[in-house]
Amino acid sequence: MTAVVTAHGVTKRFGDVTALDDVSFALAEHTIYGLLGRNGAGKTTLMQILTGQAFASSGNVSVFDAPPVENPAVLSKVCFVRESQRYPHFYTVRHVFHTARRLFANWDDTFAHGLAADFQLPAGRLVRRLSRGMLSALGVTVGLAARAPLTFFDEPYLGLDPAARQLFYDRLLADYAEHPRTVVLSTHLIDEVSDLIERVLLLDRGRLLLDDDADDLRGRAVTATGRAEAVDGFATGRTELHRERMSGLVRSTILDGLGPHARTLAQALNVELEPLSLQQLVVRLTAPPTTTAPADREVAR
Amino acid sequence: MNRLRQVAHLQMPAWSYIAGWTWSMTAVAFGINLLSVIANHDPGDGVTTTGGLASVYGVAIGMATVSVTQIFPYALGMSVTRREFYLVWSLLAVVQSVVYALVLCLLRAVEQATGYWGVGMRYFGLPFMDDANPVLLLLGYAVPMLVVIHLGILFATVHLRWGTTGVFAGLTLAFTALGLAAALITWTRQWHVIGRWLLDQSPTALLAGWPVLVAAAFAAGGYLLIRRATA
Repeated sequence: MTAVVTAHGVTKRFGDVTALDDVSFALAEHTIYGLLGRNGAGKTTLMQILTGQAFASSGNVSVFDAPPVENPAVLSKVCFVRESQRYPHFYTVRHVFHTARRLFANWDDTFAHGLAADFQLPAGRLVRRLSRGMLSALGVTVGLAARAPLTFFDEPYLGLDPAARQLFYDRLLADYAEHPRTVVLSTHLIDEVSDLIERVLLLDRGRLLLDDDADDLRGRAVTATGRAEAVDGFATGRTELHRERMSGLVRSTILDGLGPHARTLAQALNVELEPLSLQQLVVRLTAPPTTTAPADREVAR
Repeated sequence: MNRLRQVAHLQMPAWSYIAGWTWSMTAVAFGINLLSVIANHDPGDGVTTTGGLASVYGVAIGMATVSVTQIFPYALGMSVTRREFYLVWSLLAVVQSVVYALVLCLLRAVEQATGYWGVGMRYFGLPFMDDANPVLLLLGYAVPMLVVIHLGILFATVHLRWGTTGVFAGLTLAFTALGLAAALITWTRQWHVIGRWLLDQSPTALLAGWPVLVAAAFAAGGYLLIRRATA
């Protein structure tokens, strides 16, 4: 694999808070990544460091074989679309397109105007007068039309309705097929993008929890439902992420160790196995430890 | 060089705004000054210098601050480096200073041709530079403009790093330092030395010479601050 990004032991502290804790990974070229994690997990901070917008407290980052900070050769190949991007007060949508065209080498004006038409972006309107959804559409348009070899989308979907989000996913896939590049999508709408992303990076409280192929992850966890003793029998020796009781039955979320042998065992114990979606897996892996017992939660339902 | 030209385009949408507000405010200040001079005018009076020209320079500080605080976060988001941004803003400050100086030279020429607007009001003319050649005159307008624009950029970089609190703290520190220096000079009875030094300088050195050093100091300070700024 040709790595476009390598990160070694990246740590970022804000006072006593450790936003990123010894994070190491590599991003391959021509791959779509999902950067997942709860709010405050460190996703935006990581992307800011990778794009030279913020400074790591320690650790090394290399983008296209060089440090990204203050490096025009690297940054000209990088586009970072932030949900919280600030635009100058006096900028119209047209100004954004004009400046983007000058700053991104691979910018495709026709593609940008096509996207703007699809998203119904009014070219003459001041950016600060755009609705939440239109602002997101503007960011998405810039990120796609820039065709940067390394593109980051930091939750650009906020405010986009489901139809507009689908439009974004469709355009991204179609353009990616013609112009392969490395794309990093940070999002909470995991189910929506789970067919799009090829690899998953999962951050939890500043630590990198997963760095795996999305396909592998989809088969890695199941829910096992059955009578308590049966589920206990099945779960023995396996990693149990979560357990809940419902009307005499127990449903357990189990990670790893799910070969053909496990399926035979489940059948014998009369335990029903169901694959866990990527979103459910992320929820189970990153949910905070609860103080209430499972039985109490059942009552609260 | 080409890259710098592309980065310079980030400021283009602001120019109608910056120039429009600067010269409209100047026009208003000029109009009010003219009215008040007319109200008190006596044909026997000589020429009154209003000092209203300073407003053009005051407005330029604010405009420079706003242009940096508004556009820098966007520039960073568009993969522009801090160094490119700062270099371009410094170069555009030079361009702006020269263009404004040309306009002021023109207004000064109109002022003299109309006999000080017909009422003896010197608004745009620089003091002590009546005999200066055109190049020195241009510098006399342009260099102080370069100083104030870089002061505005410096304020903006302080704001980028430490927010409004940083700007107020910085101003408080600056005023404290200047006040203490003044007190020290008074204490040691050294004002006459400073006065003599000032009198020894030519008007050109005072308006176009020494201020270059001040502008360079502001520019260096701003650059040091923006190098670690985040959006």
